[in-house]
Amino acid sequence: MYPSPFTYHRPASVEAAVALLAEFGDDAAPYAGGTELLLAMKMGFAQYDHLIDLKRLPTLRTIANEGEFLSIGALATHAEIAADPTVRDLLPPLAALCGEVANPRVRSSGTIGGNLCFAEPRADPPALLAGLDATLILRSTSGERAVPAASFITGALETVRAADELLVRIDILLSERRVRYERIVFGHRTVAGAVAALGAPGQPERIWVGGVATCPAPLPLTQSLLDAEPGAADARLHDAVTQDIAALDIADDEEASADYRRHLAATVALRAIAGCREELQR
Amino acid sequence: MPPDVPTTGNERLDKVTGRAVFASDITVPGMAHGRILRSPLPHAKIVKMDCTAALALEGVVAILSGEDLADLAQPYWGLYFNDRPVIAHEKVRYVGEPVALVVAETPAVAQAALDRIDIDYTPLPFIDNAGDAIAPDAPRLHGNLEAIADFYFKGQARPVSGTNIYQLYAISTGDTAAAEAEAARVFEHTYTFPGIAHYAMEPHCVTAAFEGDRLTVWSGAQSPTAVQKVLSRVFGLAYANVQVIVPHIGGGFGGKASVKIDPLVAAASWKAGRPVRVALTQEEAMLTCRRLGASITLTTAVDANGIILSKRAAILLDGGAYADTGPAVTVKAANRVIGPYAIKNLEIESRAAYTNTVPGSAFRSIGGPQAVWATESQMDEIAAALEIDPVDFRHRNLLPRGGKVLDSLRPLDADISEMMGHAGQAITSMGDRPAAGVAVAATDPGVLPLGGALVRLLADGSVLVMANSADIGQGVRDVLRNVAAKTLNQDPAAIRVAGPDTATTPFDWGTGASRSTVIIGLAVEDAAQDAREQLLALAASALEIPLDGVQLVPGGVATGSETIPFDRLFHTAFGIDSGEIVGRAMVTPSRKGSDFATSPLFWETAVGACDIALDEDTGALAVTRFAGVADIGHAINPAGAEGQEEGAAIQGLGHALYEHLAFIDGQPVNATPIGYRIPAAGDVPHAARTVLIENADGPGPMGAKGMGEGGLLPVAPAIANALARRYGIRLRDLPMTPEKIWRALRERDSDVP
Amino acid sequence: MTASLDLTFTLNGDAKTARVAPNTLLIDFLREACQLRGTKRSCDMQICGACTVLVDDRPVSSCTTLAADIDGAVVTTIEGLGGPDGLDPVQQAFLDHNALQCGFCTPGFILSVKALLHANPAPSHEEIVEHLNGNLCRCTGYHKIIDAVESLVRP
Repeated sequence: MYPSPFTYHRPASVEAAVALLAEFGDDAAPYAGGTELLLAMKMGFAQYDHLIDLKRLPTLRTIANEGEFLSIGALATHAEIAADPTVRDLLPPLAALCGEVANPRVRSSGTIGGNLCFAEPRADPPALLAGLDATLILRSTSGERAVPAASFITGALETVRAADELLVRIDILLSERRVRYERIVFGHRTVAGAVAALGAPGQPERIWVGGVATCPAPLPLTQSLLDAEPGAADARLHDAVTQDIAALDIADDEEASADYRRHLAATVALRAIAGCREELQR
Repeated sequence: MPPDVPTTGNERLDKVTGRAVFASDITVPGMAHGRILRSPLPHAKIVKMDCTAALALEGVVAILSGEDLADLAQPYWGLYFNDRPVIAHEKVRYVGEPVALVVAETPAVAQAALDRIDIDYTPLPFIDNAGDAIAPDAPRLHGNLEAIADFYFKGQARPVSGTNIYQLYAISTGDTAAAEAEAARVFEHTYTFPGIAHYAMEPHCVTAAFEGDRLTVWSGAQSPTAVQKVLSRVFGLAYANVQVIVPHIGGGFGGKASVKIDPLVAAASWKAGRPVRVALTQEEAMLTCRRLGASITLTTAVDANGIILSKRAAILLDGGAYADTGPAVTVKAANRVIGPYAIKNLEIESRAAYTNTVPGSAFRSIGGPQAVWATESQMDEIAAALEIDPVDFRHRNLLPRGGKVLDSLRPLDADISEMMGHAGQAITSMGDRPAAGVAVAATDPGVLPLGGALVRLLADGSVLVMANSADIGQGVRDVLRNVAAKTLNQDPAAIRVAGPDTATTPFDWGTGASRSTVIIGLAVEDAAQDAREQLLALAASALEIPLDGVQLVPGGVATGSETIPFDRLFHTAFGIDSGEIVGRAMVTPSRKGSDFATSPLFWETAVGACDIALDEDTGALAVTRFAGVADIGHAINPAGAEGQEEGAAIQGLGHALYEHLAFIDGQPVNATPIGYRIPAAGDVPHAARTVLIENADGPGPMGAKGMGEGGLLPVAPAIANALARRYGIRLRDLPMTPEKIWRALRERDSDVP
Repeated sequence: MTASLDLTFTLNGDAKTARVAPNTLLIDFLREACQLRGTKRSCDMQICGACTVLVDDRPVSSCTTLAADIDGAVVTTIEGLGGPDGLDPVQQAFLDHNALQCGFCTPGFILSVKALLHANPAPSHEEIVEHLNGNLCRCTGYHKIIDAVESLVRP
């Protein structure tokens, strides 16, 4: 399989990259890790006249502790995030997940920003970042805007990013919340993932699932229950999670039938909540 | 063409240094590249094909399509029927069938041209499973075809006229009806088994070059002489003018046995007038061949003491769109469903039917995994119903060494009971609990006893072993090297085993059915013995000493008083220090007065035992311990033999838990490396042991038997039996996915009052 | 912007330059332009790891990487490890433990192990298995491959 020909651009700055995006719009694709883009192009699912190589823009891959926020450049690879001392210290679940995504080759090339922008329904990081109330910073020639990770992905392979926008960084609010990401992987594919971010005074409780519907989804009844009663009994939690997941649009596919996937989603959500609670009790 | 990088002659060293030349590494001067347009429909008439726009693309050399077939000597080919067109002709019979092959200067141009071919199809009614295929009003894939006798395997297929059934094979002994009438219990269960992809790491790759009436093919082929034979028919060429060269092969497992894409690629070269290389993608390999799916209903009668009185089996195999070697799979499934048990009354009917899916073909132990899955699952079901320990139930019914599975077959040459003991001990050596699940198997490899070898001792004392056994990773070259070294009393490092080349190397039937160690091992042993006798005679004559006064020593001959290097011996005998001794041999059914014609030449036996862990929330299963036992007679290449058993077991794990080439409405739904899961390093048993039984009682060199298939067989039933025993659920449909296990657990729990 | 691209890189220890079309995949550049055929194409989808090469000591799937990406980088293919007379310890371990059969996946496995040991010289057993889980082998059943890596870490 071979990608069809394209013109290759290697902008020297983020500004130049954004200008190229403005110039070519839908005909151009930002080239980040390439792990998903090149595969789609090879298989003929996507075709672009212009590729804008972002790999050589070091400012896009900075990881920094900004005090209130952990700021991660969109071009940081999964392997870089997994190995980064700041992330490991401040957000171990994110480092751990990035250290387990796909395989070592995908982790060494694939980027967090690419993962979000591609919006593959089976991806894990989008759900985790949504549950962490992360903010995505998109830049275009007309400036920057901030989009919550929770509303960035709108469907399978669909996001709110406009063709002339570049995802430049992800800001994650640092808090006292305990965070747990649980997932079930069969072979090389996630069949269900869930994040629980619980227990910080004054902050809402967050439970999101990923890898089950077309995009990451919150579990609102469960969140409300935990907001109201942090110590809610297991049986009530189970009911809330089950109701929340029943409300999701989950289809049968060749990997799993919908009811089994719902069961797995509930299982990982409950495991994530239980994991957080265990940490809170320590 | 020879690669730029020199190879070392030590295949394993070549492989770890990247020097080994595989089929997909071959390049030929002037070579063009082919890409294949494949049918999107399971069954359809081709009503129009327009290649004008594709041919206009710069870099496109030629396009082969069904219209070209009229110019071929024999446009349809096969192993049991000439049922398969070189490329789809007038109609397509499965999704993925080649309908056009674009030859271009680069693969990328060839790929781009595929989109420019305009084809109109008229869909035809299709069938995508064997059950539908045998319905009275089922649409038919082929007309009534004439069976070819003794073409590749011995014998011929027995199709059922007017139906999709291309093979019907039956075994009947004793009186099952009477046995069932007097039985204490009669058990009937149906077990199903899916189509499975070979998933050799190297997808099929063939490079073909026509020069006038000479055809040279570089192919990752397990059966180079079968490729030669079929190509000679398709193109009307003398065997001597068809040269098949086999480089290293990146895995075969039967998926590169008999003949696959060779006629198609050769036809592309014929059409283009250029050498053409076609390298399939892994997705395309999955659309090229697969293991036959099966549904097997077993009806087994037992007496009050747990002795099996009779067994009936109805086997229905999903053969796919072309028969390939499916008729042989049908026969072997019948023989292999019996098991190593003493059962006087048998009634077995085995059928294979055409369906509009990927053609079924040979795959490591043809018909074996399907049959053993059913039989060994049912053994435990019966034992559980009778409240007998499943190992004890097997002991009560096992054939002893020397017992006969069928009167027509050679007596069993292994002690399965002893092997079960080894398996049990191996499991408890790795952990406290005894095995949760056990299964056994005895299969009759279809060893065709016909194959030759040359052993050439060259003047400098190096030895060239020439045989058409393909190295598919099973280590055959190490085996042949060791056999030649031992027979000639030479250092193995002095011996080079050449790869298959039909132009220079004697006929061999092919690499499959666990036959190479025995048949080609013996051919090499006989050829080396021939060389040895010639050498000793030459030495006796040249040195003017009695024949019993010389012996072979590494690098030369010894007379007692002195050692004479080969070059000096040749110098003395021939006048210059050149020349060679050519030992030759052909193993035939009556080699040295022995009876190699009775099947099987040896039994391939296996016992597997396991313990498992289950996440009952999700249905995810892990095999925590696995032990495999095989009676292989003698391990000529011990590390290789162990590796074969281990690898077979993990393929069996894939069959058991993950693998299923699935079709919905005739469309393959997971035939991609992303959708199709094979075992990875994280999936293998946490602890595993392999026990090789070596009594030097096989027909091969040093008492070896063939091996390498059996280890696959017990895995799935052993795991299913463990699930039943430890968790109270019985799965009868492979693979045992987490979802199926989860559903069975739910059903179990809902049954609890 | 450019319709063809000039690359400067180090390949198996040698400084190189090359001109490629931008859509050239690294695997094709290595196998065809550089005639290094030890890098194998199998799944073509980053699942199997047969095409693994090292770029600046990181493992990448050369089937899904642009040749453009190696501009300025240090690339190691299987041919850049030891030859027959001086094997790399990872190659030697694969030989010693019989960790190969058909050998088609072997270059990718060996380079994958090189990358693991570069990033983590003392991986735990679990880390070894997790890392190897990203490379597929249809022949060996993996135990001997895992043993080979273990022998390098805990001799």
